[in-house]
Amino acid sequence: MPKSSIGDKEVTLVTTIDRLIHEPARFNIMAYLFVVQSADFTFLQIQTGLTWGNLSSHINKLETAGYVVVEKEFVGKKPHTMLHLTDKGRAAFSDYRKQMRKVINTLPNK
Amino acid sequence: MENDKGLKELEQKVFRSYFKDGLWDIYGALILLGFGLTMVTGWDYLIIAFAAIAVILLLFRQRIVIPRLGQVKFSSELQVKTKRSKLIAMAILTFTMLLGVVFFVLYSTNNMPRWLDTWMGDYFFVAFGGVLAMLIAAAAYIVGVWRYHIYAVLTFIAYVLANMLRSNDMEGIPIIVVGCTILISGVTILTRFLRKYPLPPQETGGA
Repeated sequence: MPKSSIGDKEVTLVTTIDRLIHEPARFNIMAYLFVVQSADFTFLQIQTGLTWGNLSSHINKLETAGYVVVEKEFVGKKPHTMLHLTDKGRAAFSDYRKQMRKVINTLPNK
Repeated sequence: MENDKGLKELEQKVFRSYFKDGLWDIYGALILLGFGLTMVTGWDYLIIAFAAIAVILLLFRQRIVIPRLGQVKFSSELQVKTKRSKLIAMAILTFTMLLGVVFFVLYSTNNMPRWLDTWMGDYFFVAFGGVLAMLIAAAAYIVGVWRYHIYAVLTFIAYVLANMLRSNDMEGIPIIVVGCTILISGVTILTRFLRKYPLPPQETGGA
C-alpha cells in the first residue's frame, strides 16, 4: 500500500469538521453573523454577494441546524427579517475555527 | 491570535462600510463652506443656513444608507467601544466650547491677559483651525476612515492660510476652496454609493 503523506490522525481530524459550516457561502454567513449581534437579509446579501434565493436557502439550512434564528417583524407595514446566531451556532463556529486550525497545523509542509 | 485578528478586521470592515456613503463628508464641507462664505460676504446667517442644510441632510442619512446596506446591530463589545469613543469626542467638544466661552468672557470683560490677547489677535484662525482639525481627526480615529484624516489636515492648512491672508481681507477663500474640495469628494462618494447599492426589492414576507 503506498505511503500517504497524510496520516490517520489528520484524516480523523478532517472528518470531524462541521460540513454545514465548511461550505464557503455558509461559512461567510456564519462569519458575518459571528462578528455582529444581529443583521438583516439585505446586510448579508450585500456583504456575502449571494443572491436572495441562494442566501435564503443557506439560511434555511443553518436555521434547521439550530445555528441561526430568523426573526420576522414588521417595520411600519413592511416585513423585515433579522437574523442572529444562537449560542449553539456561536459554539459551532468557534469549534469549527479551532478544528480547522488543528487540521492545518497537523498537515505536512510538503 | 491570528484568526481573532481576522474576525476583528471583518467587524471593522462592516463598521466602516456604514461610512462609505459620503454624507458625513458633505456635512463637514457644508459647515466649512458656511464659515468661508460668512467670512467673505459678512452675512452671518449664511453659517446658520448651511449648518441647517447639513443637519437636514444627516437626518435623511438613515433613510439613504440603511435600506441599501441593510440593518445591523454591532456586538455589545463594539457598541461599548463606540459609546466610549463618542463620550471622549463629546468631552473634547465640551472642553473646547467651555474654553471658547472662557475666552469670550475674558475678552468681553477686558480681563484677557495681554500676551494671550496679542496671541489670539495674531493667530486666532490658526487656533480655531487647530481645534477643528483635532475634532475631525478624532472622528477619523473613532470611525477608522482614513480620508477624514486628510480632511483634518486640509482644514488646518485652510485656517493657517486664512490667518496669512487676513490682512488682504481674503481669509475666507482658502476655507471655501477646502470646503468645495471636500464637497466634491463627498458628492462623488455619494454618487458611487448610490450606483453601487441600488435599493433592493422589498421583502414580501418570506425569508
